[in-house]
Amino acid sequence: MNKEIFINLSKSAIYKLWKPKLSTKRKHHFAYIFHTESLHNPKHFEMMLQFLQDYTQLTGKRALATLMSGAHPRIIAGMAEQKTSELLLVDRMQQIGRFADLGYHGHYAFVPEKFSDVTQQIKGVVFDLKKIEAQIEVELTWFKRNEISIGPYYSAGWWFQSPWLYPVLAKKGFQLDASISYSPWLRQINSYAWFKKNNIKSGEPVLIDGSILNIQNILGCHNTKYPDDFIRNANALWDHSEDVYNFMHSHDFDLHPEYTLNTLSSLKKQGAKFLDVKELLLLKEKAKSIDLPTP
Amino acid sequence: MKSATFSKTFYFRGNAIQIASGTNSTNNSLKKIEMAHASLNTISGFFAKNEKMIDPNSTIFAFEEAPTSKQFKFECMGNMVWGDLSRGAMFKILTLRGALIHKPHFISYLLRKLLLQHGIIRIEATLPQASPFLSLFSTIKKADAIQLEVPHNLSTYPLHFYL
Repeated sequence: MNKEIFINLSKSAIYKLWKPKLSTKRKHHFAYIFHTESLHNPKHFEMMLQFLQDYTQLTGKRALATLMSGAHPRIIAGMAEQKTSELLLVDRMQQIGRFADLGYHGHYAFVPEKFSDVTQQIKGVVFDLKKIEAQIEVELTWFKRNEISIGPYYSAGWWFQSPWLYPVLAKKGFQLDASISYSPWLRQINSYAWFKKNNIKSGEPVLIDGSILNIQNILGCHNTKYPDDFIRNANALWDHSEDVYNFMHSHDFDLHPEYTLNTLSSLKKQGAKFLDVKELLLLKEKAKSIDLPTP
Repeated sequence: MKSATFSKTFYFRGNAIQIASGTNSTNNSLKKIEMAHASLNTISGFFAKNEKMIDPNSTIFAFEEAPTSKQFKFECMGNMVWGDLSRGAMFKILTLRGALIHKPHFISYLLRKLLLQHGIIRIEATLPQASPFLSLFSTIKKADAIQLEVPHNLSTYPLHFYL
């Protein structure tokens, strides 16, 4: 038997007997974040635009779309492949900006032109802050030149995040970060170990170094038709009974609108609240505050 | 030396299957790896704080040697290993030359996949004594000279660990 059919059959049988539910002990707050990396592709753009409207209709809130700029070698290569001009890309970003708040999504490499070489990609514990800073500067300048208003919201590419990146982000004016996750599939050992050391719970908002608010990403939300999968995996990560604030993410190229909306409406039925980024920023006052680690 | 290792290969394969079924010892070793890597973080944080330039080739922190085009490469779940594959009539042996590890808790999954997908029966690696990956290897062969630092060239460190 096909493996996928077997998994689907067994899941539907199990979930009929045992349905995972959000705990009633705590309040669940979610915000939706897009890691937007494929706007040069018209199919992905149209799908995302439609989804953003459906999301607002369902939840009454705006999603956050973090963008990669047209100055990034990966986007330049994608534009050449899809024969998309820079003007068209800018136009698409502005259209996205009508339905979502915009932020910045940073993918870094030691040599940016060799971004597709795995050994050059900055993903883990070894990185070069000067190169990262230079790349952020180039990309933010591109956004300014093309009059795309990027808000102070940041999400990391390849889930790279480090305590030492926060001062750089603060210098660039960022206020909200969505790069840290406790999920084993997403977490980055550098920042995860630092959070664990400071006894940060899963889903707890954190004010880092008095400047940037971190809201953790819980899971991706796109690839299964069972909302129970999302709830089951998320429940395993929330190992306490306090209120949780989490982002859930998807990319524009791997979005499955039907499954995602299904999951979102299921969460809404179970009493989850949805927030937009401005509401999340208000958490700054009550968030737990931590300092950078001493080397 | 060769004949001695060959006679042990079936025994090693038994170990590989044990890992695939997720025994307690594997789970414990995963915890150890994660803990050990948590302590490595402060090292890289130290480098960054002091603004020391890091050479692109030094992205490999477990054991260092940049991959060449002829070498066997395998990537899985954000981790990548490369090395020399020696093919026999009945078996393949992979000698690891380097690794890029971003998600240390998935490294045993990578090795397991490597064993199952590519029909490799044994993986060899030369590691420093302090390496957090030691717990992944079932048979450890010690050399007289023990070097605690991360090696720059594998061939200069005579420690051999067999899976």
